Amino acid sequence: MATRKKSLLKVIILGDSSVGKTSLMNQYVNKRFSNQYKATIGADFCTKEVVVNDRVVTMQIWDTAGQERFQSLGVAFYRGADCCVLVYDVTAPNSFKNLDSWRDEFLIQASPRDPEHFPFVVLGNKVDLDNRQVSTRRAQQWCQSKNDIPYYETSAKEGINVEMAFQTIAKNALEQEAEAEVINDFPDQIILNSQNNRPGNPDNCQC
Amino acid sequence: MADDLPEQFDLIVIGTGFTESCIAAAASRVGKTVLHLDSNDYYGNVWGSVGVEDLVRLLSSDAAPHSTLRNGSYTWHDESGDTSTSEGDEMKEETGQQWTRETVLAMSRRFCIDLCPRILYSAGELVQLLIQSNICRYTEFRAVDNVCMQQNGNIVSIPCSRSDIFNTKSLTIVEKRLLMKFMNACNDYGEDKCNEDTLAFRGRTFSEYLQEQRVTEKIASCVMQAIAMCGPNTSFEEGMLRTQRFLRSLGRYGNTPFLYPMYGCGEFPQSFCRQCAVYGGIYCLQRSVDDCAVDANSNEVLISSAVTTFRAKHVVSAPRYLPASRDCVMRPHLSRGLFLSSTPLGNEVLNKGGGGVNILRLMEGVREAIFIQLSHFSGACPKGLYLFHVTTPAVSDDPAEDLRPFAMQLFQNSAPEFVFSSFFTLTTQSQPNKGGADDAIFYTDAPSFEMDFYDAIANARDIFGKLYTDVEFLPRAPDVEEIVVDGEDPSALNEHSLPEDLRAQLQDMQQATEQMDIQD
Repeated sequence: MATRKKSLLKVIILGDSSVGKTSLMNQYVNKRFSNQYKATIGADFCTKEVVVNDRVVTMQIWDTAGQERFQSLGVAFYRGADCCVLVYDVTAPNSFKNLDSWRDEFLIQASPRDPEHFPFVVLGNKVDLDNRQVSTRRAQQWCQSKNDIPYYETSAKEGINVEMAFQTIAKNALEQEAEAEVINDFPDQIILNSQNNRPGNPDNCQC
Repeated sequence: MADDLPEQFDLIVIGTGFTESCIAAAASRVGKTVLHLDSNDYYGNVWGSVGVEDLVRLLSSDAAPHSTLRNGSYTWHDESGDTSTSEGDEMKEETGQQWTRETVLAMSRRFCIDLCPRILYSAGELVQLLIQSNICRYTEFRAVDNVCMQQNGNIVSIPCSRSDIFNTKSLTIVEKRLLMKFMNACNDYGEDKCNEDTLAFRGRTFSEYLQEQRVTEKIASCVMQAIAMCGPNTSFEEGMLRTQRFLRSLGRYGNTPFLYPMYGCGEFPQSFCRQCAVYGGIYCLQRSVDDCAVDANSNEVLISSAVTTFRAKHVVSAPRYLPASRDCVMRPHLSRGLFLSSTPLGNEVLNKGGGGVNILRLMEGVREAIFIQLSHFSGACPKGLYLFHVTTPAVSDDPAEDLRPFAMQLFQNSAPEFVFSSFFTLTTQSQPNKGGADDAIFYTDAPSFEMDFYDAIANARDIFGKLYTDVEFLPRAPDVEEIVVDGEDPSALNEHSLPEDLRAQLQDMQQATEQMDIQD
């Protein structure tokens, strides 16, 4: 069976409502920030091409579409993720405490082959705000206790550390894949779109 | 429960089955505020896909009040103490896996077991709807590998494409010509309304039409079993329609006209729900409805759930989710058989490369059943195991008994190495009393006996049409890259990432285009 050189990385962003998941994605992909809080309307997934280790890969970043609000993300959302970004708000201690359950939820729902070494990245967002409640040390300790998850403190508003964090996300997602030397379990997968929806092979035309 | 939810909605949808999810997405897409609830902790209800553990729970426990699944039973075959070895061992050695109750349950979540499995026509209603709405971006597919038929007790693949027909050894040259000729006739049917050849058959059966085409026995059964998928009583018109459906779906993807969704049919409700959520729909799983009433003054429907009362102009509910609908008598509707086997069904030719997705339609007198084999290539089960689905319209409250003749046909000649087998009934019921809220409360239909989702989509369209007149049903959703944020100049999006000099060029170009417009 052929091994696949995958050039598409699926990244999902998890965390409590209003910690800034959509804003981080928007800042990274579109370089813009909106102060207006909309519980994620119209946010679906964004794609961005990145260069990692001299390789161009397409990163597909999936937003929760607000379905995390009442713990109602379906298993389809988690499927095939190459990296999971856990976000909390440094001014909201509860959002930090909930990282544990988001991580557990991910490992149960996505059931990756090697849960011990699945790449997570933790982002402590909103460091531009004054009323910080979760210390860097506390966050780092938690990350260390979970198999040394890389940790970044970001501001989606000011664009602080966002680029760097996503670079790490892409790198770790890709490395994990290189280690596992992923076997293509599902050859010949079909994706529908208006482009490939016309009859192709003339031999297969209607009889 | 203090859950800071809004309490007023245009539409509250209860149950996350296929039809309800489809309506929720359609309403949200055109700007309606939608609240979507389900008592279960997973999407899809009887239209969903579950892991083995969840399946066993559904089959053994007393049914939840909203459940329409009944008469569940299951057996683990490794517990019989029968460890006789046979040809199946080759397969096991290859994957190095001995399948037992323990090993299967340990991988429970690697299974996506459809409670109500379907196969899509590549040019059928659902595929068209997914493409038209752009919801196809959440789904992936596997082309069905073989459409099968039974011949002298064996299961054989039928030739679908022109080259398949040309290459097959199971037909003689004369038969090949006849089959081609017949297919061409079907393809042209309907284009010429006054065609006298076909006029004569209106109101008669498809089977009679086939007889008069002088096709051989073999071709007749091939067409009846696998292509038109009809029985002795199917009308001529219906048979022609089904044959056309088959032919028009050929040559799009893969070798057969059918697709199966990767990871099971439970992906569809989830895809529609995601679309609904992307447009602002609010989702609460594990949330049941305690009461439903109509406000006489405002004509709004009041839905009580936990301590909150929500108000909505309309409510769409799956049968039995609203307490009032639980008084209706449930009738057995579909009898389902579900088997896990460590060997595929049929010979090597049918299961090249470890086997794929094969379908077979079975007949027993006037009764029919659909058999679907799924290998790990469908994402629905781990490598080395095969999932067999059998579905037939229920004739009794005993699904195993309903399916017995079909199981005999399937398994008598090639006995698969069963690891697990189970049976259950999916029920339906009459439309509940709406308590005077005929225009405000709508119930979706239970899954019908069909291959694709034609009935379910028609049901969703029909209800949506009653809720909102003159609004498009699931128009195309733009990709994120195409979305223009309020108050932002659409061109600013692209410009932002451009260096100074290119930005100037872009502006020049825009000016030039504007001038051209004026000249026009």
